[in-house]
Amino acid sequence: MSTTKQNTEKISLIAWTLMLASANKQLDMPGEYLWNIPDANTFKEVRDKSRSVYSSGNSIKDNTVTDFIQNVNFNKFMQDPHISAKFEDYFPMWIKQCLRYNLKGIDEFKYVCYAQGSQEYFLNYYFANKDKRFRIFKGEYWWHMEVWQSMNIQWAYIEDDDIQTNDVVLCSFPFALTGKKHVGFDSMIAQCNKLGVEVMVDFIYLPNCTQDIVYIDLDHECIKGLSFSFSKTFPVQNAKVAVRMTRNRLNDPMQISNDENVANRLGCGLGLEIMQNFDVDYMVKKYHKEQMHWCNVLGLHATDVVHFAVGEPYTQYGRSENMNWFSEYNEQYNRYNLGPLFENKALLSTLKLYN
Amino acid sequence: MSTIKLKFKNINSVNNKAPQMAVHVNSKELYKGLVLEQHVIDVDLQEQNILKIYFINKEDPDTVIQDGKIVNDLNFELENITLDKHDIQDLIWKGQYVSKDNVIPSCLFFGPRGYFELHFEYPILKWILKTNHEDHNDDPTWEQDYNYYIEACQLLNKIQKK
Repeated sequence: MSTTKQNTEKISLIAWTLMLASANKQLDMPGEYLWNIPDANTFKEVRDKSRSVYSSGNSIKDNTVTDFIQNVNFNKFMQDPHISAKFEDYFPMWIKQCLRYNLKGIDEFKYVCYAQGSQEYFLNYYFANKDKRFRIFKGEYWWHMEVWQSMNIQWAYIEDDDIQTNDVVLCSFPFALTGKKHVGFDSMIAQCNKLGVEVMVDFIYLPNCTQDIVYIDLDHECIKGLSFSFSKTFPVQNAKVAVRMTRNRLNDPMQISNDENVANRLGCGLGLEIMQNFDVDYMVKKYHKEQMHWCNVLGLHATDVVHFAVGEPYTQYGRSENMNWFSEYNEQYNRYNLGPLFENKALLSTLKLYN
Repeated sequence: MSTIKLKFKNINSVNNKAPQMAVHVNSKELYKGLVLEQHVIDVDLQEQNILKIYFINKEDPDTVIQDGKIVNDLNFELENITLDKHDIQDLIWKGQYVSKDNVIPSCLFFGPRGYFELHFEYPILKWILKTNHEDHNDDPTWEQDYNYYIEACQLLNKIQKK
């Protein structure tokens, strides 16, 4: 863990500079979401967007990958009725190729299904468990709570009540807010095993894990489903490429669509191309040193996820004031997404902000 | 060199006589002539500045009254001021209209002969942020954020010039 004092002034100056550069079209790698692209070079626009430069969990927009995607022939996927099956066959092999992963028991998750983003899996999970109460740790992906609230679905934070027999649990691994395994993960699993409560593990940030050994015991009977997404690892987040792996074959809307052969072939094809050309931990290999560099320069603490660091908020806006971004459940007060720093290394070097 | 952009509306003539104005900044005349919908004027600004817009050709006969009501009048309204690309928005109401011995605060209407007067500071953006915060007490980080913005501008300007 870094012992350097946090350089909040530099963090802030970089945020302002990146957003101003975005308005001036000077970024090495432009943003992809309206909430971090200033409409114009005005103080107000740049200020508003500078407050969310390090927010979100989005992937690193690595230029090698973005250039590769530019040259992918998507038309051929449309003509390939086997593309989703190819994608589903390839995924487990690809994920197991990483020698640092010890996903004990993953072979028991034999049923692989393309998902149009993790959100499609989540929605199917909600639907399948609509009469149960969903449980989640505080700081989990806000989208769950936002959907549950708007759909009048029962839910409660794990911290607020014991797990009961009518509950189902979702948990990201590593945990979305901190980039590390949640401190309550093991006890939650033990409790779910004891009560026969089903757990879905969301591996959204797994490919960006930096540990020498990424270990998780999936033999626990309570863990019924695994969610993987490409969206936080590769810059394909708007293509909705994700995978569900389950112990048992499900027959829910997502599976029925895949069985009908109407899965999104563009998403499947893109995912397959990515897998065939990049290692699952490509970003870790390329950016782990950069993560350490920036944590040292800015006085932040590296997490186990290569594009995340944690530290004190550099602005109170969206943290302790005007909370929270987009959703009242979107908590990310002290998490920093370092992706914009990695992506704009050339610009930041030129401006002498890199060191 | 800075620029002042003035926008006017409801420019009313009387008997083929159109309103005319003189624009002064810090007592220096920068424009004299007809009031058009928009004027863009170059100016050298100082730390403290006074903009004055004189209504120079209004005479008593330019107000036509019938049965006790004004039926025709030579007048115009100031709509908007942009200083160095910064629309000062509500701060335009900081101005006042001075006519003979009358001072009408927050008046953008040029009816009687007189002048509109606005005091402002340079840099413009800093003045806007500071004044808005003084008025509403809702932007405590304005100065810190202003400094970041200016520093970022200076950094990026360097590479633009290369």
